[in-house]
Amino acid sequence: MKDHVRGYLDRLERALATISPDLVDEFSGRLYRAYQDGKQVFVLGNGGSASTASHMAADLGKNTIGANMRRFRIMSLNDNIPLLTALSNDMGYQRVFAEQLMNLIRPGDVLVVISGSGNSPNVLRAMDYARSECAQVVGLLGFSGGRAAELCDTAIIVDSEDYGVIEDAHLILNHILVEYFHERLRRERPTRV
Amino acid sequence: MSFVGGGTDLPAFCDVHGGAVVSTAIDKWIRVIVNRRFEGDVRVGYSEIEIVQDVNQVRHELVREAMLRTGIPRGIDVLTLADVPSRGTGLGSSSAVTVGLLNALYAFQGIAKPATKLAEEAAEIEIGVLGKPLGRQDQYAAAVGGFNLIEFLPSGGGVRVSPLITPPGTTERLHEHLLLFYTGMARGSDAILREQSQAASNGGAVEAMHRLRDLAYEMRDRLGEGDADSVGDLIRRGWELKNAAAPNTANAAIEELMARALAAGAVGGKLLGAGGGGFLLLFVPPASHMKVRDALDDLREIPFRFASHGTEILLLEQT
Repeated sequence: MKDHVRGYLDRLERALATISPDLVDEFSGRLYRAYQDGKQVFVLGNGGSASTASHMAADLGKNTIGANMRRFRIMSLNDNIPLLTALSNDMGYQRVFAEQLMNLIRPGDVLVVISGSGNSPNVLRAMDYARSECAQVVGLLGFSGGRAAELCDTAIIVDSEDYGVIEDAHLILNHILVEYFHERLRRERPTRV
Repeated sequence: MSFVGGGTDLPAFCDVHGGAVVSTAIDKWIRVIVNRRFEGDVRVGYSEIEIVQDVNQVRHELVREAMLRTGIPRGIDVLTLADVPSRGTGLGSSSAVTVGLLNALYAFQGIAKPATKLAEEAAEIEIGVLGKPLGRQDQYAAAVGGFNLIEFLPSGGGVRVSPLITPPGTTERLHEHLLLFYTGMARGSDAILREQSQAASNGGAVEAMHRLRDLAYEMRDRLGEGDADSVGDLIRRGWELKNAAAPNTANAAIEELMARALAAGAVGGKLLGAGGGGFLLLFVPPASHMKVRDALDDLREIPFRFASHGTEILLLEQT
C-alpha cells in the first residue's frame, strides 16, 4: 500500500509539474474579462469532470462574493437533472450540452470544458456550437488534449494518461483559480454595474 | 483636432507633472462594421483583406487586439472605412479606429460601455499592449466627442474630460477662423513621439511643456469668456513651445509652409498630432482666407466641422 501511495503521489507530482503558469494566466485572463464585462461563463464535463464542473461553478460563483461587488455569472451545464435526462432520452446523450447552449450562449461568452480524453462526443459538439456562436472556448484537458485541444482558444493539458491524476490536477487548477480570483477581486472590489 | 497642450499627455510628462489639452472631435469619421461570418473564420477588410482561421493570426494589430480584448475569437467579418488616411495624419485616426473597433465589438455582444471606458481600453491596447509611444488625448477625444479640456492627472490619477462651456456663437466664430490643409507628408509619429517623451526629462523642455499645459487652461478660460479671437495667438505660442521642447516636431519643409501662411495673414498655425507632417491647422481671420489659400495653393484644403459627439452605434441589428 505504501508503495502505491508513493507511486500515485509521484505521478501526480510529475503531472502537476507539466502545467504551464503562462497558460493558466491566459485562462484566468479570459475569465477575468468575462467577469468584468458581465459575460456568462458555462462549465461542463462528464463523470468526474462533471463533478469538477459543478465544483468550479459553485466555487467561482460563491467564493468571490463581497458586499456591493459585482458577481461572477457562472453556471455548470451538469446540474439540471430533469433537463439532462430529457435531452439525453429524447435527443441523445451527445446533444445534452450543445442543446443547453442553444438556449443560453451569446457571442463573447466563455465555455469551459473539462475532459480527460478531450474526445467525448457531447463535449466536442458543445464546443463546435460555442465556436459557431463567436464564443470563447477554453479547456482543462488530459492525455494529449484529444480533438478538444484543437477547438480551444486556451487549453491547459495535464500531461498524464491516468484519469485519476488528470481529474485531481483539474480540481487543483480549479482551486488555484478560485483562490486567485478571491484575492484579486477582494483587492479590486469591482462594483456592480 | 488638438489646439494646445499636445505632448503634455505623454506618460513621461503627465505621470509626473500632470498634462492638459484642449481638443475637439471633427466630422472625419472612421466607420466600423462587424458582421457574423458564416464560414466561422475571421475576415478583416481595410486597405488589405485578411482571411484567417482565428484572431491570433490577424495581422492588423488594432483589430487583433480589440478582438482579443472583447473576447471574440472568430466567426466575424470586421470592416473599417475611413474619411481620412488612417496613418500619419495627426488627426488621431489610429486611436479613432481602436475606439470604434471596441465600441462595435462590444455592441455586437450586447455590451454597452461608457465612452470613457472605451477610451481607457483603447489606450491600454495602443500604449500598454502594442507599446506605441502615444499619449491618451486621441482616444478620449474620439470616444467622448465635442469640445473638451482633457486633463491627465499625475501618478495614475486617471483622465478627466470637461466639456468647454462657452457663450453662444463662440465655437462658431472659432470655426470661421480655421483652415485645414493636408501637407501630403505622411509621417511615422513614433520617432517624434519618442523624442518628445525623452524631452520630458530634460530641464528646458520640461519648462516648455509646463507652459504648453498652461495654455490649455488659458484657452478654456478665453473660450469661456467668448473670446475666440485670441485662440490664434494661443496656437502660435503652443507651436513655438512644442518646437522648443522637441525640435523634430517641425522640419524645413514645414517651417517654409508656416512662413508662407503667416506672411499671407495667418495668426497662428500648427501641425496636428506629433508633428513631422500630416495636417496643418491655421488660424486665419476670414478677410485673409483667400490670400492664405493662394499662398498654400500646392496643398489640399480639407473642409471640416466640429463634431458634438464621439463614437456611436449607427445600426445594431438584433439577431
